[in-house]
Amino acid sequence: MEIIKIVGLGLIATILTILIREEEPEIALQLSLVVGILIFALMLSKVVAIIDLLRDLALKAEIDLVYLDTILKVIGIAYIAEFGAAISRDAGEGIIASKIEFAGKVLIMVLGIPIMLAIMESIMQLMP
Amino acid sequence: MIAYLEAWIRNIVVILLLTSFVELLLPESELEKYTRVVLGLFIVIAILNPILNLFNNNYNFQHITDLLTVEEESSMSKSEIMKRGKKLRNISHQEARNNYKRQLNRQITALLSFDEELPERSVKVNLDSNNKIKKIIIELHNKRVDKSQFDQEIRVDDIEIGNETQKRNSKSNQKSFSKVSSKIKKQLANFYNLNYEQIVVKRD
Repeated sequence: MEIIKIVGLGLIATILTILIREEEPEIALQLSLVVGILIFALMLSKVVAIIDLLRDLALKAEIDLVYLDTILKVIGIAYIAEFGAAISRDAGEGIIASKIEFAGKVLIMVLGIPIMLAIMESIMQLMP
Repeated sequence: MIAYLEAWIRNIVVILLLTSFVELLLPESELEKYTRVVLGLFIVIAILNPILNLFNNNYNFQHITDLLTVEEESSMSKSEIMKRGKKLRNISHQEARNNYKRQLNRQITALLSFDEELPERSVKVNLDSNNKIKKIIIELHNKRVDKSQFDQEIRVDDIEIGNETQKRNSKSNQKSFSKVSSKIKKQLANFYNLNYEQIVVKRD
């Protein structure tokens, strides 16, 4: 049971961080960071399976893989920005967290802009 | 027409399924709004694509793909990296080839230097695309041919510089040249396992 493993890891880490935080807040932060990365790494093989499935679906629907790549990139940016922002917020640095989120937003928009432009252009072409 | 509609509807359904599946994967944060917008754009593309095709036949949606691939910084740099890698490989390939050529050259020179009777020569090796020996060109320098070979066999009057002497000279030259060249050919063909045609012996 993988979920028990992960929840157990999470709970132990939580209790440890609560115990440590009083005396050494830096180490508590590092602990939570490491556990976060560990859980993500444990899930990585499953994520690969999901991405494979998405790829298969996209191939069946005859969607260009470029689109799927963009979607996956968007998801990846969202996740990484989320992760960084959550850790910064945890450490009490709300300003840095919001800046990380801002960077994530900008990058996602940058990925979306070419698609939006293309759609706009196509609609303009439709008009006589 | 029906088949066309069928394909269109099937595409839309699959894309909707895909995006809803992807939305499940998304992290819950402020970024969710933004990712949803991008996903929505994909659905718009999927719906718009056949309509545009219907209205103007020559419309090519491919340029969105081009746009995506060109504008994206990372995929640009990836192709750039691939290009550079190819270039680098070519360079190292060329380097190895040149090196091989040089080594062969040296080896042939060494091989021929065992025979002290041979005149002074320069060696040139041509390789084919698989880096096998295509041709070996050996240039014999005339002066030494005269000196070392001919003086022993045929005495040529050195004093008279006339038409006749020259003719004779060149004739005897020819004879010994063919002898030398066949000797070189035999030696090299035996050593490198080549055909006789692959070895060319020239005079300058």
